[in-house]
Amino acid sequence: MDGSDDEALVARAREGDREAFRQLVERHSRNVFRLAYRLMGNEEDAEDVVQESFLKAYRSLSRFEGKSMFGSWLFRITTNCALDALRRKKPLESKSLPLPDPDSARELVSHSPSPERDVTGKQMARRVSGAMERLSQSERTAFVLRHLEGRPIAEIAQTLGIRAGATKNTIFRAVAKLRAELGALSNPHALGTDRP
Amino acid sequence: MNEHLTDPELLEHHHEGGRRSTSHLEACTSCRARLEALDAFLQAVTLARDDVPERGDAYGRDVWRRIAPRLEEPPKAFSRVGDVLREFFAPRTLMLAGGVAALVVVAFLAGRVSRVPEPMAISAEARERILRAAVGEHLQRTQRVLLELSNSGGQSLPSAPARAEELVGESRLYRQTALQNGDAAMASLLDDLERLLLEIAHAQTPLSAEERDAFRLRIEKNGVLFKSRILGSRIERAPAPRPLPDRT
Repeated sequence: MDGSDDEALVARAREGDREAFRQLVERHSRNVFRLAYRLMGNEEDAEDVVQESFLKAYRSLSRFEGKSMFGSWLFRITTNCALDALRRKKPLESKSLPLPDPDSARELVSHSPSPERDVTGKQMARRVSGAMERLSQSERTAFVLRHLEGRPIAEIAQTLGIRAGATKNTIFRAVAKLRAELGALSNPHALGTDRP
Repeated sequence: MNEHLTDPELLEHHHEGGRRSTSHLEACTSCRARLEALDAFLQAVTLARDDVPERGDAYGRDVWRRIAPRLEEPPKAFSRVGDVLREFFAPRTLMLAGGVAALVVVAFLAGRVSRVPEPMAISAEARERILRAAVGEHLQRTQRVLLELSNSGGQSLPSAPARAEELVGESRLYRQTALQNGDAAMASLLDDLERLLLEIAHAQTPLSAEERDAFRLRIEKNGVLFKSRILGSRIERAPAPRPLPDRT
């Protein structure tokens, strides 16, 4: 699968060829789901975003100018659909979670399986999920795109419709807030203090 | 060692490296320790979130099966009426000034889209009046944020990014409505305002002096304040539409 294959399918889909769009859907579904899941945090909402993203892409095909790869364009649509979905959700109440063991971060990084580490890993996953849900939508989106999807700043900036500098600020705020909330994952040199 | 790396510089080094930061880190044990802590933290978060449920080879066919019957559905503006209604009646939205925006969009879209069941429609005159009032109010609130930035002097304006973020959502709704209405001038202005508001929303809190100056220059260069005042006054002066003929 490469961009030129997508290009031919997109051209056919724009002429009304549903079979061509079906192939695009099948090619890109898993990537779209992965992004949607990372942004929404649960399967049910992610599946809704997947469907809405492809529907929106289908309706917007006439506006796709081919300046970027179809996958990148679909990526931006998915991000915007997720942002719309996040705005419609009610904000979660702040939850107070017990502080984990100070060594839990190192245990999480270790890949040696054990029941104790599995429980700790699940606790950590819940804490991280909770902390991410308390970020603003833009902070959460920018953080996911940068750290979990590995997207470059320029692409994230274009997706969010802001400048590169503002994107970096948003990501920095997200990281600072996560470190402040996740407490035991930080060391004494926590973000928020410029000097040790 | 005269100057340590700031936290944003450490984060940037984590992502992209850099000659200056690399050379500093080679010589500074405390900054190296901070970087190691940051790296460990981000790695832990990434692992904790790297739990995407598996989707097999048949997933794409499953997605297609679900969306194929919906490809010829009415455009998104119609399908969002239900979503906007839910949003409007949510307590959080009712508490926000943006509840007016949701009411406007509901009223406006319900009237504009002929396939909405008749009981939902309201008179064209009421729709236009509500829309004018809401857009005018939105422009005034946006102007206030921009004016404060332009005239801030040495003030830090800590609330500007949060207020800007709130206005962005409303601006998008009105811009989409203006596009559907064929009002290119309004859609263009709202697009300009939305871009500026997004930049303000994503700026540091509080804004640095450099950011305030940069925003002030952009506001002056774009002329958005002038344009929004012109369009705002046109909205206020526009004559009320003639009522529809009585259908009874």
